[in-house]
Amino acid sequence: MDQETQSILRETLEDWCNAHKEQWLKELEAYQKNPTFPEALFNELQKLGILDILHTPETSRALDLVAETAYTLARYSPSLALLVVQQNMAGSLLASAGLDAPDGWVALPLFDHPQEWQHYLKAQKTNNNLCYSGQWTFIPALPIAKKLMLPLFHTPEEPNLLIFVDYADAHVKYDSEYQRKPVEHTLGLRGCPVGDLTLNHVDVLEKQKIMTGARCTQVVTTLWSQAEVYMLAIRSGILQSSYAHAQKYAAQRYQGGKIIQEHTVMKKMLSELYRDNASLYESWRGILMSLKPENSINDGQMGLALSSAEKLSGQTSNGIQIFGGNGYMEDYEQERRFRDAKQCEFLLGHPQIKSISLWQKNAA
Amino acid sequence: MSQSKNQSIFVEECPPFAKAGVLPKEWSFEERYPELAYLAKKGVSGYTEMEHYYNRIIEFTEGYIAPRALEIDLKVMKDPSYVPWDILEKACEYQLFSGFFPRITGGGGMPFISYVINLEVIATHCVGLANLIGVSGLAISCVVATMNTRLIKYIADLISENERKGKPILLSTCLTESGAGSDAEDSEEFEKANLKTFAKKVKGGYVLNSNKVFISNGSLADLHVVFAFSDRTHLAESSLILLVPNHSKGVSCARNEKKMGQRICPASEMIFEDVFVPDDMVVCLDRKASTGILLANVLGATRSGVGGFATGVAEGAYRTALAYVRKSQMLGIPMEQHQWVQLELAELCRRAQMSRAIYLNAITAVCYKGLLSLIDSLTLGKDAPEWLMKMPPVKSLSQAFFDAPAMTKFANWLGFQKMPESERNIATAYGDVAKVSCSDLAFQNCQQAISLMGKEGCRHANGAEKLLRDVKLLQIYEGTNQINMLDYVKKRLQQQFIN
Repeated sequence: MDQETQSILRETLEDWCNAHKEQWLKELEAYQKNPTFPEALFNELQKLGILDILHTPETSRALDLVAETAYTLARYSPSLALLVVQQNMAGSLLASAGLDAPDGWVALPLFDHPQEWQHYLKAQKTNNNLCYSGQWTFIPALPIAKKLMLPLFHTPEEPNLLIFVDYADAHVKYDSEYQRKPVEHTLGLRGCPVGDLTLNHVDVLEKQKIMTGARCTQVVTTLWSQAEVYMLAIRSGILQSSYAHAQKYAAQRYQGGKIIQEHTVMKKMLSELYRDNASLYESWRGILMSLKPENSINDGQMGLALSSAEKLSGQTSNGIQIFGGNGYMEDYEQERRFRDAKQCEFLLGHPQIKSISLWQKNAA
Repeated sequence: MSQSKNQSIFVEECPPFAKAGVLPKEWSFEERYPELAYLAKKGVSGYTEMEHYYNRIIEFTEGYIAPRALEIDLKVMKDPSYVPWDILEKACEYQLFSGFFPRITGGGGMPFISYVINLEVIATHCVGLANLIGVSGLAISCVVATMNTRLIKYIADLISENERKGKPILLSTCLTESGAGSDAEDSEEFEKANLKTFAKKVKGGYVLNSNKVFISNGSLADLHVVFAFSDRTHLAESSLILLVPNHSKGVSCARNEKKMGQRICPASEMIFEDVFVPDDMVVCLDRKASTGILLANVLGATRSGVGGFATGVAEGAYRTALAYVRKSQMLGIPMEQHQWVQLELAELCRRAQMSRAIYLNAITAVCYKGLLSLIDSLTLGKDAPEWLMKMPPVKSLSQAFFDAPAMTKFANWLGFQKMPESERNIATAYGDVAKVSCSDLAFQNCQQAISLMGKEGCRHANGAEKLLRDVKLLQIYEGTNQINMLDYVKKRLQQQFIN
């Protein structure tokens, strides 16, 4: 993506976010207190053209467009950034399966690593059908989604399956078979509703199997790997926002007879926040420069992603310290960045499982 | 991609801690506080007494707080005006508000260490509730530090007598202003701080005008302990403490802040508009003892108490993670059978233990050398039966004892002349270290507990995310940790160079 395109995209999204802060973004963050998801948001974002970047043929290889979108949105609302990234990932999988872009939100288990998928649902072969039971928890967008996409890997008889469930399909008895229950209260990312899915002896229909076999494995695991860059971009957006607000506050607040950024202890804290922010920004931009659309990220890049996940909550915690007591109050939003940062640690799977998996691949 | 059949790369076979469904037992007093047991063995009295209070608080927290902490957090989120008065009324039965007052003042005569241990144990389940109870202790400590024995007795009577009737009396400490946070706690910074509170001397008292923010218990308090100034050009020398009943004309609560955590304890903006405070509710200081000394005396004690809160949270994080690990699987194997998981749990437990050692060390220092050494040594009437303490002649005598102006003079001498500044500085330095170290350890524990639990750590129902939201405030109030460390430089490091 050239500089000009990047600037236009960034400015467009910044203008939209600033214009809709009261209308959409605040409403989104209040979702868990008042569980009414803004229905029209999907269409608004679709008009911006950011929900199907990876589905549209002209832009399907533009990973940097998705990352830039994620970064800019995350500076205002990481929850919104996550919803948009998830929608793009779903779009990418549908494009690989030769299907149309979805007309509503798609739920995708973004808090789980491929190593974890097989342990949630148990498969049984009954009458030549595959029947699934079990629980899959904490799936983003599940309470509001019209459709659900699940990677069902390592099942007996039919390994590596991607299914696509339409909740509007009359054949789907979602009340009894694909039960979904919203998770009422979470630490962060409160604007991105999450839900628990329970499958009760569900026969997967043929039309729901949109990809199978080795190709399915390759497409899904490559997408999950590339998604680490999108999550890096979201984390970078959170840290940038935390630093920018801390800097602004420190330049205005008086304590001990001078503005607080003149105190050397504050200079140290701000400088560390700035340094971490700058390095995190460079990390995902650097990865994008070398990443090809058909490839997974390499081990070093994965290591960067894991480190950033681990450190972000500590960095945003320091962002709160700069504000003092005000940093703990909802009105200043610094506490929200901290909560969102912590929850972002678990995007795409448990960090320890990802670490061990990364090492195991290398050791093998 | 296929699952490796070689399970040994991922999993070390470790035996589970116990059979499924077996709950960890509560530690005995000696297991949890071995340093106190050692002190008792060396001849320190009160071991049995401390153990008694410990068992009582375990009974209270297990019966009334542990089962409801998460439910209360949700209720307050939905209805910020909700207060669990039933729990506070139950706390009266356990003398949690007056327990540490000396018997001669009508209190329970509990050792101060036991009071802080009580708060630690409560904080294991809900640090917001510990704060709600403990912040009254902060307010009382401010008054105690002035050595105004008449007003100390007044507050002690107010709390104790109502507590016997099952009515909790809450106090607030009104110190912070919107333009002055941490610098409102350091008298050396007063002249540079943007302090606006003003108490104008009038006939019969003072007229107070003030706008205080982030006041814990503000909207619930029956009595406000307000820091004010009567001369804007000489703040440190003109500092006052005013006792203002909540029902006084001109007192109002503008709003309660929407906090990230510790929601059960409101942080209020309190407005005092032309509030008349009569002379007998004004705690004037001996001008040889400035507010700086007062704050040093108080904060040394109360920051050690914050260390106790933090230790409770650190312990809570460990227990929450343990409970989750015992019932959950990872990659198809019970979590507790992963060796790395067991090491993580050991880390959590280790930090809680370290935190406990630090704050107890600080509390014993404060009880030995600081403000609390005076309260701790006031054992008059300690072992007297309750019926005797209630007898009218005994009550009249003790009232006369505390009301006598000579008593206040004597207490002032004891507090400010007999206790040199270097000793007070030691106490404050210990408090600074306890507060900073314990809050940092607790924060690390909460972070690590959630990291261990993964995405489920972010679910409210599992308890860990509430701990993380709650613990962050401990690094901020009573001065941010950074400010506390700057204070430590003054009180400890610089003292090395003073002869």
